[in-house]
Amino acid sequence: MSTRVFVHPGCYQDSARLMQVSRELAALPGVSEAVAMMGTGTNRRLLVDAGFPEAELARATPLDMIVALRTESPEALDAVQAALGRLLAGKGAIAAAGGGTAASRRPGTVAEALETHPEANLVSVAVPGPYAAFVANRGLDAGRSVFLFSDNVSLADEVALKRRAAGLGLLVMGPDCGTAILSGVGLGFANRVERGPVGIVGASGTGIQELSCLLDRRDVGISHAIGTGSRDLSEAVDGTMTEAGLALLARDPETKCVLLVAKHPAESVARRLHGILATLGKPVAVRYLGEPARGLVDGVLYAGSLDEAAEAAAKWAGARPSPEVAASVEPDEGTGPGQAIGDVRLVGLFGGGSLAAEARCVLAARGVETVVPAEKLSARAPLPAGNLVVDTGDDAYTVGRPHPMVDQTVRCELIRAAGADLSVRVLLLDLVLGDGAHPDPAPELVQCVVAARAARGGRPLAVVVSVCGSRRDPQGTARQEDVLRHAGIHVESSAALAAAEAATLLPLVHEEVAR
Amino acid sequence: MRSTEIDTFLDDAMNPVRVLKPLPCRELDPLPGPVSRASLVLDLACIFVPARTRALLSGEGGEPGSVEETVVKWAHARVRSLVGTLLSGDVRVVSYRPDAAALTGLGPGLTPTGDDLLVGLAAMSQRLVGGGLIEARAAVAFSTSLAGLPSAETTAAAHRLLQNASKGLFPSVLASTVEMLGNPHADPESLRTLTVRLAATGAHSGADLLAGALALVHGVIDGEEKP
Repeated sequence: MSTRVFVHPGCYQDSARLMQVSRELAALPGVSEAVAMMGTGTNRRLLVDAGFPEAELARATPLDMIVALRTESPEALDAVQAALGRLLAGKGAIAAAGGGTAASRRPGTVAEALETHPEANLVSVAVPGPYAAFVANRGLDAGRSVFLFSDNVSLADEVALKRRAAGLGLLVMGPDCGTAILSGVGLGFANRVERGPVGIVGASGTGIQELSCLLDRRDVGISHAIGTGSRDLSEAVDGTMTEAGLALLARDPETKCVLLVAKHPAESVARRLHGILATLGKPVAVRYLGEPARGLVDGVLYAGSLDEAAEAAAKWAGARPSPEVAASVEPDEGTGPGQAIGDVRLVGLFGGGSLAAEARCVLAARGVETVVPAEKLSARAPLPAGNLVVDTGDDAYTVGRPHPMVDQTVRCELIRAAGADLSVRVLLLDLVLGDGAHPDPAPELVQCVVAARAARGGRPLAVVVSVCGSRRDPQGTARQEDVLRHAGIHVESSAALAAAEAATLLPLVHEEVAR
Repeated sequence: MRSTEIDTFLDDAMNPVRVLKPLPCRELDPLPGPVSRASLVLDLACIFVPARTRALLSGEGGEPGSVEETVVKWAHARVRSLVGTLLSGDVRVVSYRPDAAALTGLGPGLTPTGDDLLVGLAAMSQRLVGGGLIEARAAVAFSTSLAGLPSAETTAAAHRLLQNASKGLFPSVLASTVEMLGNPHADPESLRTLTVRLAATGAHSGADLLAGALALVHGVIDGEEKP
């Protein structure tokens, strides 16, 4: 009997693949045992106890794959080693065809994927967080920019990845990057918009989506939308990829003007970026979500809403001004009732975190104070007091469940719960369409709004929905809007406009109740 | 990503939108009613138990002298020991640690068999605490022992799974199955479907998670305690 251990560093494999490797090797002539396992300490000890060479096992880590073989003769080991190489390179089933077939197989590593598609200039990474930095680095090793959809990546890994990418002149979009559109190709959740002169850099997925859809409604296309991941403008990351994205757009001849969208930038980072924006050489509008408008500063427009930022870009691209946007941007004075009054209040249930932030900002500007509940809302418990704005895409609501842009179950439960609370008189919602999102969300939303209204014993419930969708989105934006309107739901084209409408409705409802 | 896909997330790597929450986990729902040994016995009669789960429950599997046989034997012995400690109501974390440490990182899979067994056992112990069949403080001690397992001893995915389990968060497909076990209102057909779904998760993981959960059920039914 001969024994041999192969350690494949950084070659993590799922259970199915490990089992397949074990089975196919064990079926080869002369092989009496083949075991493929991850190199955990317990497995290493187990294999040593089973008579496999300790010295070879000692260098394995839990991130490595171990293949332990027992063969009838030393010669058989050489044949198995060659077969193992072919199997791991994804060259098809070895046992069945003696190493000959080329059954097509999905690539298991970045290197395999690039071998199959050498023309690819971007690596999209969506693996569990603990492995994401490792895989993203393999993309950078290969000289490719990375779209990093994975979340649960440590801040230290993010900083290291982005610094490395910046040094290589590449992009690392993410982690937790939900949206990007590069040369007309959407990544993650993205809307199908035309190509055009506006470039976007965003640390906010739904912020990018809202901007690109608002521009689409004005017949203005985008050149590229570069997502950076939500932590990019934190002090630790220092806007590394935002800066790199802006530099790319500044050099891109197709990009005539630039939009930047982000949530809560660190003050020092915002200050540093301002210097870059002011000298970019192209018109720039910035929307820092949740912050009030600052107007033009050193030639950089700090907009008060995504609508205002998109409107500025549309104007730079040659589109006519939109009176609708002006209405959303300029609040009526003293229209709002401030805090929730007695039995009249508003509840906003959003799928997009950035859209929730945008709505809160517009509501505040119109005198409607809102609170974000400290505790996760439950459909089985009474809603907390006050006007509420909730991001149902927050981690607290999505543990073990898909995002509400894909699966509306949790949000629908909360809509029904809000309907059963008679003090809730205005419901503010968003509906995000595009690739990756729910295939037909409006009918489901209508169904739960109807149920919510039915539970109120005739007391009205005004519902305002902002629809973030382009004309070419697979769900059919116009059809989704029609379905909502037929159910007596007020539809707006942006979260800001919807919030403005809700703020207008609130005092009217209050007057009605008072009468 | 649907909660039934625990170990298949890597297959979805080329479609990032589907990979929203790797290893989706959630808390167990509150019990609808008391759990009795009789209802557990009835449930065992209608669930689907794959061969791998049976091997881990009996300690007999794999070719004689093979690594697989050793994995099954080791895992079986350690799980039995943990079940005995839980049923004895031992509230000391140190009583659970040696067996848990011996299981973590053991066996095949991106989440190795030993880790899956621990998570299945933790979910079932929490469920049976609600039913009054396991001492609550003993279950807490066991969960706490999982939180202290060193990350270097297993894969990153398994370590995350263990950390979640120590906080009472379990893979959704496991949680749904465990919630049905011993539930007097559960429909036998639904329970069977759930166990089939769980067993079909990954190459080994689902069957290993189920084995961890069922080991405790068997222990409760047999009145097994640590000698």
